Amino acid sequence: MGSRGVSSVFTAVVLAIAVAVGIAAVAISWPMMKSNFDKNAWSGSMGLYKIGFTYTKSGAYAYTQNGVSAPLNGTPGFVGYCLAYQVNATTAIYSCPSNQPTG
Amino acid sequence: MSQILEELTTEPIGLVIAMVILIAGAVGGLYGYWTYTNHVTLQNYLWPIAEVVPYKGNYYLGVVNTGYEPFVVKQIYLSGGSAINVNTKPLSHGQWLIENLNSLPVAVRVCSTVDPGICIVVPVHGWAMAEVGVPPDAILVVVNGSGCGWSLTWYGWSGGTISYDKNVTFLIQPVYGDVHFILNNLVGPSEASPGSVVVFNVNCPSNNGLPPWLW
Repeated sequence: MGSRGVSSVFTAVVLAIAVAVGIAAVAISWPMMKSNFDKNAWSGSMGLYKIGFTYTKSGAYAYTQNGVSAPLNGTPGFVGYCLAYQVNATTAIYSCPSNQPTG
Repeated sequence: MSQILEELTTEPIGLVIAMVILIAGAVGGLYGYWTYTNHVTLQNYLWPIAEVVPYKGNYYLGVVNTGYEPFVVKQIYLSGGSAINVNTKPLSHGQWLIENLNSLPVAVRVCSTVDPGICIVVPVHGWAMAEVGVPPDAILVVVNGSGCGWSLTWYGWSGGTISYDKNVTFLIQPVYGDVHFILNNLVGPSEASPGSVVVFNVNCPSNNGLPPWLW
């Protein structure tokens, strides 16, 4: 009888530990899962990050979708998360997060 | 073997030993898993963007932190297969690293400042060309005008005149119809429509170097 009682306690403890480990594992996983979602959202937004160029009375300007704008210079400078400069009166060279990799 | 297992699962002392082993195993396993998830989480929040544009025969590399986890740039991989070791100050959100390189960079390796052992390699985004747009209610005037004095007069929907002896780019704005040009020492079109670009090139006469009002 005594040994059967000990055996039951053992089973109960094993089950309790299993449940606790399961709950803890889910709790521990949550930040990692969230970071995966956040990273995917970030990758998506970077894939859409583009730049445009237009003239105004005060010269050529570069502007990005999220509302950042800056004067376009003859030397490379950053506009939001893009690099850009003016080559001649009507042409600009730029690199943005939505551009293809070089390699 | 089965007798030991039997004793372990049925005797009180066996139960205590088994519980200690189980709990230690569970805690150890969870700790290992927690370390792993921490590592992956920190790695997932490294959000660098690397970009390159060609400039005067060199390559102008920019690395920006678009996230909130600070990092340092450790290495720049070049197209030839070599790598440059750099050790920058930590870059926070929106901060840039700019490098002028002789070879085309293809990737950069950045490491978290929260845990220097967490690093990722990201590709470098290449460049493209784009037109600088002219607003629909404007005409962009480009004068390649160095060498001698010239003057340009326009009339129609908008009127004005300028005289210079150098290159000038300016916007006639606003215009909602055609504009006509009178050229002095310039070669180019005689009229233009809104939203277009007009280019004039200087054509120096024999009275070289004198401004138009002295001819």
